[in-house]
Amino acid sequence: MSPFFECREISKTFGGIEALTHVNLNVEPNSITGVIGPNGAGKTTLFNIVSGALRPTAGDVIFKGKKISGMGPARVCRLGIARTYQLVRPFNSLSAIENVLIGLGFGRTTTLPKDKRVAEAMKILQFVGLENKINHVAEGLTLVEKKHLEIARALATAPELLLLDEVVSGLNPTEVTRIIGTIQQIQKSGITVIMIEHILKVVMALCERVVVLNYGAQIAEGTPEEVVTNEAVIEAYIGKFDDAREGPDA
Amino acid sequence: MNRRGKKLFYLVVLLLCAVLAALPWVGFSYGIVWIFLLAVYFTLALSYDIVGGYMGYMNLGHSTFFGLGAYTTAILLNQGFNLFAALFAALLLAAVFAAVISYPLFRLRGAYFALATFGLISLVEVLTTNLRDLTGGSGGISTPPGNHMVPSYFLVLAVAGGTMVLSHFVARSKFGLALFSIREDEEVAAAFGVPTTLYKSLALIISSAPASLVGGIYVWNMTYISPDSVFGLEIALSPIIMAMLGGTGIMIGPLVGAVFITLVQEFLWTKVPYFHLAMYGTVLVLIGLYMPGGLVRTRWVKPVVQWLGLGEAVDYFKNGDAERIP
Repeated sequence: MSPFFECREISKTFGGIEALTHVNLNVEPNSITGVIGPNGAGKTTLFNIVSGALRPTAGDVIFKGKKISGMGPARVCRLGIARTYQLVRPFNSLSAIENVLIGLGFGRTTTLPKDKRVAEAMKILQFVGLENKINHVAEGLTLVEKKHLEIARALATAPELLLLDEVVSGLNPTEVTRIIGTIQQIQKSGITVIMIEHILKVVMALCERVVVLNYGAQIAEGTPEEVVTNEAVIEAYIGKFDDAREGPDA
Repeated sequence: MNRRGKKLFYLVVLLLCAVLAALPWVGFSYGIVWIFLLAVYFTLALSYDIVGGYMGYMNLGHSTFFGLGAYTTAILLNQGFNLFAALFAALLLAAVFAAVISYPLFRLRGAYFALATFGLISLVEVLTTNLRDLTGGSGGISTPPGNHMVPSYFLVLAVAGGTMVLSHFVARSKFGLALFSIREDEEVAAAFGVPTTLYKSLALIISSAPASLVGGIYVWNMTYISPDSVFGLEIALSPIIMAMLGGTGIMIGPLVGAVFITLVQEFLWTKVPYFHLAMYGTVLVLIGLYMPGGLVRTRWVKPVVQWLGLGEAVDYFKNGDAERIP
């Protein structure tokens, strides 16, 4: 049987810069996979390739036995892959429910009649805890509400695979707890999640497997416990002990 | 819209219709000419707003459709065609033209799109000037003479009313919601399955229809047009200035803008001729600086507009009487 979701030898170059080199990713259905790495490691580039916004220079993205790299973002969305953005990008002048209705009306293969769409949108907004904000314009929401709205818009497309790009960053501890709860519930409802995250506490709490990228290369993969004790990972994040002692300033 | 606002709104609309219908019988001919031109500009401004306001693509070449409609109608009228057949042909030609140019133009965004569309006017103007056999060249083209003031007055009002209905239903449709999402963030809209290429092209085709129709009615009434008069700066810029002054992306905006500008223009024409052209530039700069949302979104006017239930055009979902909360 073909795997649920797989990235095979993905490479991406921008001009002469290698943003990703030979990245492999294999995701089990209904799991939560973390993608971590220092700034500029290529994590968001990987998401852009998976969601169809960018084409890989080499390699394939396979989703449920189908090659999806090269398809446009709209088709990828309808096939069942939805995403959120690192810097939130809701439709600012639209109300919360209208944001969700875009996902419902265009991101699915089958279109429901309007009253069913509205009912469904209400249910999704309730799920993410925005039931009191349905008529609020997205621009006026707080950051945590905007992040939940982005999750709601993604869920509205009835995805099988959800890509969360730093959904926890910039939130206070209470808000982090709230969003972790949401992600756990999303997994319970049968959706597979791949998340980019910097906050290790969240990665440790949620992810079953973690992939570490550094300068576009995959330097480690495994359970969160394996990864945080991996020497290459520690080196990527804080540098080698020797380097610090014998650096140019020493 | 609350119930009180709704009643008042329908009352005002009804009264306005009655006054407009009665005007020709009162014999107030100056008023008719003035309202005819106002309706022409208003229709151009409102149809521009589907692409410029709803979708956020500033189409400076909107008057190309007006000119194409005018020339097509004039040529066909001279061939002995019935007015309605000629108008229908004008509509079709403008729609086909819109569909064809949308392919290269919508690869551009922002200022580049605006500039390219502006260049389109010159392109079509040069074509009409040089296709002498068909268009009469720079000397212009005359249509069979006759006094069509009153019928064309009603025709143009009908088109203006139709454009309002069209604009209303587009704003409340799933298609309209998609246009708003393209305005907010085209890339994200595409990522959530909105067929952006198709919808941008459709929006341009829809906005071309009213413009081409009023172009046709305009030439039927005026019985003479030249490349200067239909592809000139005045007809290209004033509808856009009206939409922006009133407020883009909201139906009442172009109406307020059109009435305001034609009133001011009327005053300036008599006092200082041609000053209105300089005024357009000044107004555009002032809008950008002091009221980017237009007149209807200023602090004093906005509450009135909302009380009347004529608030934001984005109105796909309504929860009873709940208003959109900013």
